[in-house]
Amino acid sequence: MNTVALNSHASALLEATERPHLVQGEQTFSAVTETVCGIAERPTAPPGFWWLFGFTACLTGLLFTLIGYLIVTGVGVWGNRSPVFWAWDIVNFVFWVGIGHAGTLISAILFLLRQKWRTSINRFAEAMTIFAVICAALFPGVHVGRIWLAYWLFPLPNQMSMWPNFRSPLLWDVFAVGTYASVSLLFWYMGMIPDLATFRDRAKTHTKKFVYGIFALGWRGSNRQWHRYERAYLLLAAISTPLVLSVHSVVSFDFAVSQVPGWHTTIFPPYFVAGAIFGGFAMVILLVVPARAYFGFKHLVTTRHLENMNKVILATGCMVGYAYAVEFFVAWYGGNGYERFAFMNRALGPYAWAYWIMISCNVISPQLFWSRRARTSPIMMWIVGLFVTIGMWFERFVIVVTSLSRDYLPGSWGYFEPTLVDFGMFAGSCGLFLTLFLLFCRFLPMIAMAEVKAIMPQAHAHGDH
Amino acid sequence: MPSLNKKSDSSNKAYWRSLSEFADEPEFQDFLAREFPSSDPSSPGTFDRRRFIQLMGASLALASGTACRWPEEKILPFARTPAGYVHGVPKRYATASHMGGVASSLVATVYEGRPVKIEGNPSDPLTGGGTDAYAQASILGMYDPDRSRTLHERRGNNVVAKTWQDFREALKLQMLTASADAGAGVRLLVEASSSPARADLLQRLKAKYAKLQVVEYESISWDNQRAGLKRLFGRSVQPIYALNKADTILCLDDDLLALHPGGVAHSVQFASRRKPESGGMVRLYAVESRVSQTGAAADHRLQLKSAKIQDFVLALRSELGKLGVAGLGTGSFSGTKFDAPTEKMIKVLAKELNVSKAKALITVGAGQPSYVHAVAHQINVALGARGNTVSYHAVDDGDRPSHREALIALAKDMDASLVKTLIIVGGNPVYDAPADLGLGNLIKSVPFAARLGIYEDETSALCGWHVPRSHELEAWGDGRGYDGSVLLAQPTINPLYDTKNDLEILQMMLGEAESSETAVRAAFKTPGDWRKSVHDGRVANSALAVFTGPVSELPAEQAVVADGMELALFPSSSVYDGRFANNGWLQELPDFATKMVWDNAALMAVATAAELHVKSGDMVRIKRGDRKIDMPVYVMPGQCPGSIAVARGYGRTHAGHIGGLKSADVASAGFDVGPMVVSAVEGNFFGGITIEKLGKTYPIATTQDQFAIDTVGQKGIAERVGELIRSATLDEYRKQPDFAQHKVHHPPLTSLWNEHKYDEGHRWGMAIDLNACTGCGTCVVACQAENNIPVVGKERVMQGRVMHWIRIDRYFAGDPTDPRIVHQPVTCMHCELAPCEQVCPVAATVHSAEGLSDMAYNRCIGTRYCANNCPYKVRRFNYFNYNKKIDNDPKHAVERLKFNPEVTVRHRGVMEKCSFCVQRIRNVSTVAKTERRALIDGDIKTACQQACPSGAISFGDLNDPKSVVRADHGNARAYAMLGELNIKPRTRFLAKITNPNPELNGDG
Repeated sequence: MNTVALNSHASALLEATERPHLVQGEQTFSAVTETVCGIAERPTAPPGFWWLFGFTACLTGLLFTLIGYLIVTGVGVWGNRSPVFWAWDIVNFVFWVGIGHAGTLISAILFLLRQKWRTSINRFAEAMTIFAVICAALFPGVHVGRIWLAYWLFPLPNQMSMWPNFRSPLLWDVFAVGTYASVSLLFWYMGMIPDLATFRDRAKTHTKKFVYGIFALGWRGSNRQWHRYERAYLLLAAISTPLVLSVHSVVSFDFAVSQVPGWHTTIFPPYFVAGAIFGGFAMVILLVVPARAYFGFKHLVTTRHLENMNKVILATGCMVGYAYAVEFFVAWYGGNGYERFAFMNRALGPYAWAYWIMISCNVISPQLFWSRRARTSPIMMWIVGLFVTIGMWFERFVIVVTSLSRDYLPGSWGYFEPTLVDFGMFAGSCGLFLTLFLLFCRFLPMIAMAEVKAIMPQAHAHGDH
Repeated sequence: MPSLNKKSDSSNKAYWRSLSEFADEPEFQDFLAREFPSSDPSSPGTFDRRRFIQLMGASLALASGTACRWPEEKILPFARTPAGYVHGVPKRYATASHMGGVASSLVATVYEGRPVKIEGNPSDPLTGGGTDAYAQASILGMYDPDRSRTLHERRGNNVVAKTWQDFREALKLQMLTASADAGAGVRLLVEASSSPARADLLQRLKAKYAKLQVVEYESISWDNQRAGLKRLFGRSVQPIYALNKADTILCLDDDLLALHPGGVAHSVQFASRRKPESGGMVRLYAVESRVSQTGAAADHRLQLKSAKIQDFVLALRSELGKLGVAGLGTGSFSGTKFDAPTEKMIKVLAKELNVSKAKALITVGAGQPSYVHAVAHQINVALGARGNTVSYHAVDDGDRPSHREALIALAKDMDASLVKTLIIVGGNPVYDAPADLGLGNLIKSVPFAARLGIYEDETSALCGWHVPRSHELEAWGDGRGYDGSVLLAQPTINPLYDTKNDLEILQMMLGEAESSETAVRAAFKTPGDWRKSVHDGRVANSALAVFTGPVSELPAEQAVVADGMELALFPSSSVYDGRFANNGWLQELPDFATKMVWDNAALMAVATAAELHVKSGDMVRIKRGDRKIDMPVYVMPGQCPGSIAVARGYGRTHAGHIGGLKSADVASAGFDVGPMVVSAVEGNFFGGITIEKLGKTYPIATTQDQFAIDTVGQKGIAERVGELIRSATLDEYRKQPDFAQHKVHHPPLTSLWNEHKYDEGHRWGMAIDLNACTGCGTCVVACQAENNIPVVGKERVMQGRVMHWIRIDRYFAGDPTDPRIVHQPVTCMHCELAPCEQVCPVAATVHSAEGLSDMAYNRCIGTRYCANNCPYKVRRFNYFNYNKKIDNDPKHAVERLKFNPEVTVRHRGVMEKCSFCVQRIRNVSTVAKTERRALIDGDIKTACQQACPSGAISFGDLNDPKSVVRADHGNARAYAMLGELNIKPRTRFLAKITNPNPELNGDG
């Protein structure tokens, strides 16, 4: 087997003959190139784009203004308190890290599992991963009390021979998220090289030629280059695959390794991973549905792609629902009074509203996808995707805040209330995410042209070779 | 650029600090005055060479004698170091503070001439070194930037800066004029005081001006007791209790263990009789309207309106008479019919008191009318308690009228324009006098009214002259302690500002040289041992003589009218009568029962609140006749229905930037209940009030249960409180002494790895006896003073960001209308397998070889993970820079002096927590090491342990087989809270044992 994408012809043939084509309409290779490149090559984007970009850029500005305010004033500008020492800062962190998972899953695992349908959406999902991880990394970075010393989290050699505490899950987090961010970035960028070369070749201005040229790393499309490229892609996919499982497992250790009732449960790693994939796919739906309509590549990202993603959402949604149920069962079965209370308190205590938002959004709303009509209706899936995204944010809120607010000693119990800065920074992080995403849409190949072409029927016109 | 032309040629400065100074510009003068108040050009600038040499000579002499004038070192370095002085090693001086006429013996720790910590005097026979929170916080009062620093005279709306010389001359003129009619128009309004020096000076003043009148006033006064006992004994006597000799104690509306001049001594005595392992326990009954600390500590507490206490004590007397107790007079009681539980309580109490006889004791609170005091002590005497649990000591206070009567007379005289000269020394009568006297307007009408005050408060604002007063720690003083012994107070620092104390003002009136030392020395009658007395802080054998005279019959008295709803006032456990309103430590000290900070509220029974359809935080209007106040409600479980309790001392308008300052737009902390106080009422409760809901709410800040707890939470609390705070009755304890160790069942606690052994060296540990703790909060303030813990303010308390390293958790158990209240001090347990340490990513909190969980503030980056993982939630995070003002605002620079130099002042963004006072451990260990000896158990006392009035906390080396803390850990009652988490806490709690009367079981 030389390369998976090009040479796994048997399955490709099967798809080309028996299933509907992944790319629809009378498409030629050049038509694909035209569609994808055309978006980035327009001299100016339509006004709607700029309005949206202006809005998200304002939110991004808000985010960085608030970060400045936070650094100058202190972490107290948030609503964090005793005993809820972590609140929206960590909720947002876990939320964004989770979003990123879909990207890696689509790029790596589905690639290894030879799920051809991934090719139309993987670039999208990978970009989303990178931007989500940027948003995620921001929060733990600024949530520490002395931000100017946050670099002490890294094992840097120093004159005191002072190392970080390798027993702390927070340190594991640093490594896990750091690895994840760098591998994802590499994977995304490497996958983009052939397409960047296409952009370079079609560029009309010197600047564009130069910039795309730099990033295309001298890609010529020679056989040897393709060969190496496919190999490297496969290797990176293999490296990324365990990361899909490891990152969110390690993030869940922040909670599972501690001894806060409601955090200290062994189910967390698989439950977090399932939840992350669930939330990540919902986010892809949220982004790709309007994007494909707006930029006109419905024939490349077809209903079948979307339906497949919705099936994943349905499956992981059920897993998450199962995890919620098992948590309750174990809390009862385990016989630990503190843990039992923590879960009763989640469902019936002062944060019950958050818990039931989470249940409705995460467990109930994806059940719609049992219906094929819901699974294939862009509006329905977008609404469900929105619900799931909200639900997943609340899941983290329920885990982090509800558990902390009532731990062992009732004398220390408290109720967390967010401040305006909390709201502003979360909105700002959404703004940053969308801003980066819009820039991506404007300047980079949104769809992996080379890969899409490989799964078009024309690519297999001559049968086996 | 300042002009370089000199403005005046008279300033022939050889050196100058800036061009502005050279040019002698007004801005520079202004800056100089702000920066160095003593060099304010408006204050006497006549500091010539001669005067300097005089002062230096005197200072040196004093430094060698009593070492109290050392700040002078700042001016000149030592040419020759005084013997025994080691730079950086603190000195400890005995001193005393005075409140409500009773002095308490203290020790001040002084670093390089600045006192940083106040503690009880360990050689005090009554307290053994314990204090109350007020004494602990007094140090902050001295360094309060809002303290008055300058003199001024008010002429209409103009305020003119003056010097002491101006005042001296003005006063001289007044006294000269007054001497024409023997001082008939002169009134001296003073605080209650037992100072022999002051009595001396007042006597001399009266001798010089025969018609001069001294008015002594204190809003929280024990004069009702004085009057009651006068009726019984025919003279002024002071009862002194010996709770350690009692088997049965009955407190009638009396907070015997806390808000009482002998509170600290009583706590010591009471705790000594609450140790089930050393014999029988005393049984405490409390009958009261509000929940007092004593009531919470009682084995049986009966809710009764304050107005019904008189009937209660009469019914009890009658019941005792029926049981054959002689000497109770003949009058059988035929007053109010009580409800069944009260009737039963009276019967049971009478029976038990009659059994205890000489070992019984009844005490009455200051707010009860004099007749109740008289009857209660009549019973004490009849039972034979006199000379055993209570002794009566003769007090020579002449025939002064009671505080209330004296003030009424003064107001009358002022109204009749008989008062030409009014000198107010201390106190704050405009704020705390009965409102119907209209003292404020009357004072304004006095031609010459001068006020010596530590703040420019409500009273100063209305007086013609305001002169600044020295803090107690800045001047000499004396006073009688609770047992009547004379205590001496030596200054621990030179006055920070140009101030005088009360003795010096009296000397000024006499036209004498002003020196508080001279006054105190003159009153010191015992020859020879002045130095020893100053060193000890106490004059040996100066206690009051026991009065042995007979008791007289008590005629019957009219019943107290107990109509409708009543309003009962009590001194605040934070701000007392308002004098500590500007003290941040005390404002932020949670009330023992409500856990409220920075405010007072109308404490209301659950039933009353339901009746009025109000809940905590609702604003109500309390009305009595045409008097009304608006304040928020706090629903207090255990409060007597039909009785509203409100703490005094809040709602100050001229207290300062902490307690409220109208002129600077600083809102008052709490609500002034003063308008409800009328002079005609003897007690501190007022019947016939009405309450209406205002439909507004007010944010109340509490350190616990800031939000109402829902039913799920309440169920959860009910399930676990019994495991967290383990308690049993004395009978249960006797059946199974180690019951506390069997409350929680868990699998064997094994370890996955070889744990660190602490077999060698020291192994620090703590034990807290829940049976001794009354929840007073002294430890909280002591810790705050010792460890430089910031005050965060009301808003941040509401946000859950209070910084106290030790807190007292309060839980209610049982029926919310009549709950049992338990307290549990919680501080870092220094777990051997500390969960906080494992999760810190930068290893900022690590274990020491001696088993302390240390915080390396420099290393902490503030991830707050440790605090999340601490099951006791004792870690505190610096969300902001809470010392910003002290760093940046020159006005607050003086506050830097309060910091303990041995403890890091934490920056924002770092976590902090109890360190077991590691600086104290190190200090004592270093001394032991240099002396090449082993540590002596008890030498190291943590700040909380040292301050605790009931000795509830023990601390020491668990590896020392003879240490007290080891014995406590081995006590059958000892248990580790949350020990089932296998974190091995180094603090053990000793379970609470109650001693209920079997006959009352079920409602106790």
